[in-house]
Parts: sequence; C-alpha cells; structure tokens
Amino acid sequence: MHWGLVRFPRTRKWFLLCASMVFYGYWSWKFALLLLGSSMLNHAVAKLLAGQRDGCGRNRKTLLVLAIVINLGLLGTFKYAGFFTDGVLLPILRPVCGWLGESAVAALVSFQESIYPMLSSIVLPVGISFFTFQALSYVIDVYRGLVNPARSWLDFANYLAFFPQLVAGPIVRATVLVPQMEELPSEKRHSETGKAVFLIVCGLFKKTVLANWIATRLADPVFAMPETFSGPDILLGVYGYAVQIYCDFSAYSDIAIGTALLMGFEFPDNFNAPYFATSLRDFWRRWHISLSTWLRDYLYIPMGGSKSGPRRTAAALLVTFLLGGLWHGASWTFVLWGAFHGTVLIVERFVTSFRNPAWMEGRNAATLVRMSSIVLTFHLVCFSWILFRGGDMEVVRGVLGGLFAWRSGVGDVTLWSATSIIMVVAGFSSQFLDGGRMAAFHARLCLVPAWVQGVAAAVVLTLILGLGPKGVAPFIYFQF
Amino acid sequence: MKEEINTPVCSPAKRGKGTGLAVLVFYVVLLMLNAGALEESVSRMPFGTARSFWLKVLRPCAATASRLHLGWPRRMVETHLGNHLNRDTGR
Repeated sequence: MHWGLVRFPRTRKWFLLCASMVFYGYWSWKFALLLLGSSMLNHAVAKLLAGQRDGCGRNRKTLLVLAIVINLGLLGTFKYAGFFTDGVLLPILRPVCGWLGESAVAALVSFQESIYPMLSSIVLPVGISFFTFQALSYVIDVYRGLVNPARSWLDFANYLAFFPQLVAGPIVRATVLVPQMEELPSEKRHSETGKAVFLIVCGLFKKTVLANWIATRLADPVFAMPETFSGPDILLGVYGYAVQIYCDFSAYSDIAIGTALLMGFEFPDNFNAPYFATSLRDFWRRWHISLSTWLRDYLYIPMGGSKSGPRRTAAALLVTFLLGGLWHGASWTFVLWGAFHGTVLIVERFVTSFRNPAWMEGRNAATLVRMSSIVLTFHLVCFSWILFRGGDMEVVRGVLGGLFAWRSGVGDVTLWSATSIIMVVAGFSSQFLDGGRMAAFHARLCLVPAWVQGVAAAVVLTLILGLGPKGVAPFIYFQF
Repeated sequence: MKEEINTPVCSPAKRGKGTGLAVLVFYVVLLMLNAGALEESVSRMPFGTARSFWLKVLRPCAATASRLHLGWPRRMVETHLGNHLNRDTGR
C-alpha cells in the first residue's frame, strides 16, 4: 500500500503515520496520544529554535532546557519514579525519620501508603526511552544548527513514530531520517528488496531459533537458580546469555532495518560483530551503535570528551556510562553495569596511553596480542552481562559465587551437550552477517526476480517456524 | 577501499511493484506451506466469530495444501530437528 501511494506523497505520509499509530495504539491508545503530544511539543520547540537562530542566545538556551526538562521529565515519571522512591528516597528517609522520632516515622509510613498505589499504577510505555532520545537528538541538533527543523509536523511525527524502529530502536538521528521522511523514497536508486527480505529472515532465525533456545535452555535456568548449577554450567549460562542478548537485539535491529528498507527507508547499521572487538572502546563502536554514538555526541563530548585532560575525560566517561546504564533500566544492577564499563574504559585509556613494547611489533606477536585482546574483551563483556541480566544483587552474587568457587551442582544434570555447544557457536558465528560483510551477497540478491525472493523467504520462514518453539518470548530490549 | 557493487537501477514505480510482488508471493506461499498448522492452531481457539471466520478462510487452503503435500517441508523439519531441539519446553 505504501508503494501504491507513490504518486500521492502527502497521502503516503498520512498513511505511514496512521500505520505507526495503529501499531503503537494496538497496545495502548493512551500512549499513542502521548507519542503524538511529544511530537507536537518537540516540533514546536524546534521551529521556535530555528526562528530565533539569529536572535537572543539566552532565549534559545531557555527553550532548549525546557525541551530537555520536559522530555526527561516524561521519561523520569514513567521509568524512574518507582526506582527513585524505592531505591533512593526511602533508604535516605528511613534512618532520618527514625532519628527524628515516632511522629516522623508515622508520617513516613502514611507517605509510603499513599505513594505505593500511585507508583504501582504507572505503566512504562513501550519504547519511551528510544523515542525520547530521538526527540532530544532532534531538538539539540536544531539548536546546534546541524539540522533544519522538519518542514511540517507530519514529517517530524513520521520520524519519531516510524513503526519499524519505534519500540526498540535503532535510535535513528534526525539528520538521517527526517530528510527521508520529507522527500520519501522516490528517486532512482538501487533495488534492495532482496537485502530487506534477507535481513528480516536472518533476524527471525536469530530470534526464534537461536536466542529463544539459548534463553530457555541455558541462560534463564542459570540466572533463575544459580545455586543449583555447577561452575562449568554457570559459565555456559553466562556465555549463553552473551550470545542470546546479541542474537535477540541484533535480530530486532535487522528486522527493523529490513522492514524500513522494504519501504525504501535506509537506517544505519546498529551492530558490527561486537564480540570480535579488541577492546571495550572497540566494543562500543560495534554494539548498539545508535545508542553509543548518541551517548558520545550528546553526553560525553559536551562534558569535555577526550580533549580536556585525563581527569575530565575519566569523569566524562564514568558519568556517560552511569547514565547509559540507567537508561537501560531503573535498577542498581544497571547502574553497576554502567559503572563497570565506565571504569574499564578509563583503565583501558590509561593503559593504551603507553607505547607498545618493541616485541609486539612483529606480525606473529601482533596476531597473538589481537587474539588475546578479543578473548579478554569478550570475557569482560560477559562479566558485565551478569550484572545486566542479574536483576538483583542476590542473583549476581549467586552467579559470581558459583563461577569463581567452581563448585559442583545439585544432581547429575549438566547443561553441556553437543546441541548447546552448537547453538552457542551458531549464535556467536551469526556475527559474520553483520556490517558490510554480506554486501556482495545483498547485491547479488537484487538480481533475483522478486517472486523468487518471496518464495525463498516463505520457505525459509516455514523452516524457521518448524525449528522454533511454540510461543516466543518478547525481545529483551522491549523492556527498556 | 570499499568494494564497488554493481546493482541494477530501477524506477520507484518498478521498485514498488517488485517489492509488492515479493511481499504478496511471500504471504501466499507462507500461507500454503503452513495452512495445516494454522488450521490446527485456529481450531484450538475459543468458540466465537473469530474462530469461525479463520476456519472458513483456512479450511480450503489447508485442504489444497494437503492434496499438494505442501505441509511436508515444515513437518520434516519439525519431526527431525524441531521436536528434538524443543523437547521439554512444552512444545
């Protein structure tokens, strides 16, 4: 239908927006209204900012701060109100009230009784973290003069609510998508249906077969009851989770990129073989690229980046990753996950500031160093996934305890089997599909007639349905 | 240096037609290859208008697919791989 409206650009834009609203409103129409409200507000601010480009800098700054406060306020209310009350406010107030006396304790109890029903009624709108970050990047880029405001609200609403990437990213920048929404794909360009279908089918395979199998057989049992598993089993569970989260999230990105491409919209890559990274810095250039570049451009660099001396750089890194951790979820384990990444990045910066010794210059030595770096980085990332997946500190302690004590498990059951190794290795190897590695294959695909592509995709999807279990768990990143 | 890839250039209308055809063929073939399994899962739905509607749509497709043995690829994969992989997961 989208392509059927190619001669009616305005109708096509309304059709796209309606499709996105139906997609989002199917879950909750109230949140679809919230999304529309957010798009109106941010577009209005962007227009005002652009209108005052040559005017008073103070007014522009006030407008920008207002937009940031409203956007973050929305995100904070829906996502962090419970965490802030339960994890920050009450732990501070309890000892203070205890010290003040009985009347203060009674007041605190009545405050808790009134606030808990309110907090439990708050439902987190799916994808709010993603569309809030997109809206923020748009307003900030207009303020910086990097992008012009969208020609109309309709174009901006389509950018913010575009359904393939609405609920779990990638976080596509205004500079990339707003011009595509304004013009709509209509110029002569390469036919990429084959690439789109290939991405969607690969994503479905990674999610329904690999990620789902690894989750139900390895990662979920280990993280549910770590005390019942042996050290080697826990190790396999942690490796499994690393592969599961990659297959799960990169699958969503592939499906989103492929679906957008079917309609002629191009998104940048979100993954590039992250577990082949040679350092944590390299890892963040390959993992969830749209988020890491967002954090770099709107947090790390404005805080001084790498050009303001080692202390400021370290502080900027730590704050960026603490906030990056908190972005993933309102829990202390995510904060710890961010702190771990920030700290390792600081250490890495310090270590790499020294010149490599001469023995590392040889070809064999360089290969050895590279391989060791990949293995070390992968294990550091795996360690951080324990914090990410743990949910609470009790589980994290259980997993780490079992891993480092290398104890034996309860009973003779082991997770190690030929199938589990094949599935983990297959999931790990799926990284070879990332980035430009398949570009030549994608190019060849577009030479295949469209109906053959359709038949091939249907046959492969049928085989995937035969391989996968009945009922597939939601994507991990839906919760963020 | 980036590899230059020679891909055919086509007009948006042609491109749209190609995409539309691919998507249409995809859905038709997918329906025929999975008609049996779909009919089976719809028959497990609670009685009501939705169930009756889908059964009316799917029964002729499932009958045709069965006559043409189109459910064979999915059954083969399920029997030889899927059931082994998904043992004990309530499949």
